[in-house]
Amino acid sequence: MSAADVKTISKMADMAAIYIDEKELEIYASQLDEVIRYMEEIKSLDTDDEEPMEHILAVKNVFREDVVTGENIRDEFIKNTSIDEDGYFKVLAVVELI
Amino acid sequence: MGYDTVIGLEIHVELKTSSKIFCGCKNEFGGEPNTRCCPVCLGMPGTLPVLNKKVLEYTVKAGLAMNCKTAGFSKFDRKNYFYPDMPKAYQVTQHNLPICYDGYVDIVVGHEIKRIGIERIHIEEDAGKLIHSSDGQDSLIDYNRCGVPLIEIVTRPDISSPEEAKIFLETIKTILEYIEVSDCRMQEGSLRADVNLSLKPKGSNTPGVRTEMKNLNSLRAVQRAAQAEAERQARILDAGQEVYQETRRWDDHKGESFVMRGKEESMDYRYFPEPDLPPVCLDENFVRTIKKSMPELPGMRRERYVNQFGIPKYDAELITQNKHIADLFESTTEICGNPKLVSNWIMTEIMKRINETGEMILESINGENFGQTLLLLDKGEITHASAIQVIDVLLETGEEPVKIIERLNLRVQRDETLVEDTITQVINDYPDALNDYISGKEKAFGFFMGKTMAALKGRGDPSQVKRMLAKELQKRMNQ
Amino acid sequence: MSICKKTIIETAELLRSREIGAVELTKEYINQIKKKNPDINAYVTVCENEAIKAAETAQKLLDSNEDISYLCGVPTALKDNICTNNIRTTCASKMLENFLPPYSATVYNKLQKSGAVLLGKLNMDEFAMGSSSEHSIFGAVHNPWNTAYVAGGSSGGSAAAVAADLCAFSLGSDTGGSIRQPASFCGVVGLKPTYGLVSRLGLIAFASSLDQIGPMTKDVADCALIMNVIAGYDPMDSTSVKVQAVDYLDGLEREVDDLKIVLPREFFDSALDEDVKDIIMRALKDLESGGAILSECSLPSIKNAVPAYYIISSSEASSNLARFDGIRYGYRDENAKNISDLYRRSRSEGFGREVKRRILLGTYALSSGYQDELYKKALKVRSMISREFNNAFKKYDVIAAPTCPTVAFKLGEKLDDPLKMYLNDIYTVAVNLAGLPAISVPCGKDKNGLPVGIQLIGKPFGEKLLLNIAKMIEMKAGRLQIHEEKEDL
Repeated sequence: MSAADVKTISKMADMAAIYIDEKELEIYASQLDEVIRYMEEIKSLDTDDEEPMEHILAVKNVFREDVVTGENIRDEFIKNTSIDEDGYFKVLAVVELI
Repeated sequence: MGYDTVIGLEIHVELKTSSKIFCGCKNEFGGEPNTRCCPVCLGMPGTLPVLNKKVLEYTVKAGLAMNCKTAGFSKFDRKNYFYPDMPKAYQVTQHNLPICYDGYVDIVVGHEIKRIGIERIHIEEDAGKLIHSSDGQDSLIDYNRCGVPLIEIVTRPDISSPEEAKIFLETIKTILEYIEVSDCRMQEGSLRADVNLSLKPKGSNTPGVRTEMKNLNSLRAVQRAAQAEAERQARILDAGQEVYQETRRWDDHKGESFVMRGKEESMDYRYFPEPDLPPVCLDENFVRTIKKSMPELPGMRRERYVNQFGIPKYDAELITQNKHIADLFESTTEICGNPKLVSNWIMTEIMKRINETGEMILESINGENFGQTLLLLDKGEITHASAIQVIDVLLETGEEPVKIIERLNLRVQRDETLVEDTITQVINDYPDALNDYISGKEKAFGFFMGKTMAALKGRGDPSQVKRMLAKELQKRMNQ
Repeated sequence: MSICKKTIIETAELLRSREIGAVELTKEYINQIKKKNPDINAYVTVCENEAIKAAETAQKLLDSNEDISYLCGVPTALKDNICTNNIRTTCASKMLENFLPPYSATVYNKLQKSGAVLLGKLNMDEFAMGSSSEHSIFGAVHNPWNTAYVAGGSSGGSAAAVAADLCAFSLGSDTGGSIRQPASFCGVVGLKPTYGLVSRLGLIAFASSLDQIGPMTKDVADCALIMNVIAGYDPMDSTSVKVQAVDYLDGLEREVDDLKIVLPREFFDSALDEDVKDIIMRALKDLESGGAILSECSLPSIKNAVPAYYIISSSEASSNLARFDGIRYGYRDENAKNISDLYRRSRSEGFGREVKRRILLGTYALSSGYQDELYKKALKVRSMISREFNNAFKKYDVIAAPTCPTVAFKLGEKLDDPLKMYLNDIYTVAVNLAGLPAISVPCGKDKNGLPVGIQLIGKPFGEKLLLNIAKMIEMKAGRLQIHEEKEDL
């Protein structure tokens, strides 16, 4: 059985909000299948006694004080998008969750 | 068939810090769209979050107020989903190691105290706001709210009626106001609740299938949505059908809910540890310092009011439900010195006005002006009716009570000659009533009393008027 | 010799002695770029006007005779995933082709403050995903040693620009070898600092728990010099570490007594090209004859590093790159029918194939059915690898290994075989998983004249010792320089 068939990859593409046409899908699936099979080699390792390493550093408790430093820079970032209306970012109507 | 209702709440509360959770942008409701945003809260490429320490303090404060344990080790996770109000396409939240867990809150249902378990309180960031353009073709996004700190309070499924859900939410609101971590302005969305509800046959221990109702932003909506959902599920079960596990959206105008998504479409959020934020390890000192700074909570105040001021438990319960009202009670009592008088007035005249015009009246009335008014009333310097008038005027103009009393000439009229003349005039005006009185109809006394007080424009001293009226009527009977 | 061939330190001396002015120097480099870049394709943006302005400012500073940095007036360039305020930062992606960051990365602020002159932005694999700098909308980077070969990746532009003398030094970023591998392929020095030593603020994230910015330079002393400028705590990066400031340049040439170098067998396996192995062993023997003690050891978990690395980095990338949706910045498809369509079209068209492959892989590894056996398992492997390194460092001062199994490969050779491309990273990824510092130093050329790099891996925050040993290797092997036939015309 393949690790990543067309159906699985198609589902992942949907979750990642990417379109992949049918022809491409086969190529992606076969490449990723090979990659995932290789990755899956670690599945068989005995890691029962291992803690997952979530942070490599021993750093903890990094905070900032509750001070307002921000200023209005709307004009700065709005130049990266061509579409704005009265200072809003505009998108096609959002009906439901995607 | 009868059912037991099982309700759990997830309550989102915006914390009133000065700045946002991960950046220095101002945390304030409203404002011109997208003017309280920076590269960090807009999720611009390359930006990194730094946790606002106050958020942690407020969360621990809320946790302590709700009798929670605080985690020695806690961390942040990313919840991944696409939605245009979430600029990073993930929300920073705490998936499996919340800051606070395993607590409870006592609520008063009828005359009983009921304990509702708190499963966890965790920190997360708020999203922006979407509004629809006038033509309905587009959505407009304002990211000002993006990155406002939130805590999510998750209860155990201990709530057993829509009424209890409402009381619980009120209680939570009161607590959060007492500890001053949130404004809890539901109309501004700073407190929002999700209702998880299921039914099971009465007395059964087998949990039913539950639904989740999202984003209810008023106490009334919570109660109504829960009521409607309980009824909807009962109808389904009565018909021998199955309730589906689904997420629903409540339409408060229509008074009904709609399916947002079913179980099959349930989102795979792909949670994983947020690599940009190191873990939080709370030491005992941190928690102890916060504990020391904790204000008196509503339950504690209730007890104190009964013991210290000798007011009835019922009064104490009602007054302590709102911190601002309780504060008003205390400061007023300090000036006026008659706690029962103050609590009576708060529970009637003040609460009536809050219900009519809202809590902002508490910005005009305070212990000083309210206390002075009640003190004068208590000393018999003004009448009950005048006291009400004084309060209405001071709410409008902000004038000092003494000045209002002088300006409107409200001081009690004790001039014996004037009172006597007024009484004589009133009796002369109503000979029929006099006859009634003489023939033994006691009711007529009250009639004359009312007429005299009215003629004195409410400024007569009731005991003086009563005494003199009795004397005059006695005189007439003897004539 | 062209002035552009000089190291930072040599250049700084010339600037101070007034043998050349900062503006003149900058113009010299810009001419060089105009002449050579078409063949190399290292630059994606050249900001000539800004550079000359910056050079003028630097000259004023130089003229003021005040205590100024070595970098004052020295031309540099940055990998194009490092944000530069109002200067296009593309990540070599259609997605960000026109992106103007509203702020600058901390490292760029630091360079600017010391008076360095930004010549432009450097080509790379799209979003730093790749090992050849071929995955770029601006086309592949060519290896200056032989333009039929790749420059390595993902900081291929950063390595090639330094090797081809198109800047005095550059910065790259290293998530799984992206500084060291191209440094090795292009014959320059590349250092991946300890995770947390250099601020990541403004580095467009690929895999946040692995990414580090580091210097790419013509020699080891320059590398130490740049570390002096860019290392240090940044309150705006929560993963940045407060450590005592170190002068990396100070005592760079000192002799290290009783140096214990270990060669883990897993880094000298059958994948290693014999020619490369010989060159590396020669460099190590030189150290041995200088008094170092060489030993062998085994780090058995290294063999799981590539799978763990690709699972973790792709998982984080799938989340980091989700923000590119066409709404606030970046590529936006104008024909979308609804918001969901807008996301999907913009992302499908804005991202290249390799980026999409990684996003799909990461989405898969994090999704509910596979998270435990892939993502969480990979985190456990990360623990194992980290522990094995720590144990090795209890006995040895430094680990020596090849940077790559081979010298640079030909353009297009591995482009259609992702797994083959990924396996090129076998000697570099473990370092990122363990958060350790590692340097790649040129130590010779193979029979075809392509550079070979040796990799030295150190303890956390052990950069100074790495630079020290790298300097010893450099003194024996000499700086690798490309000799052009028509030089200085």
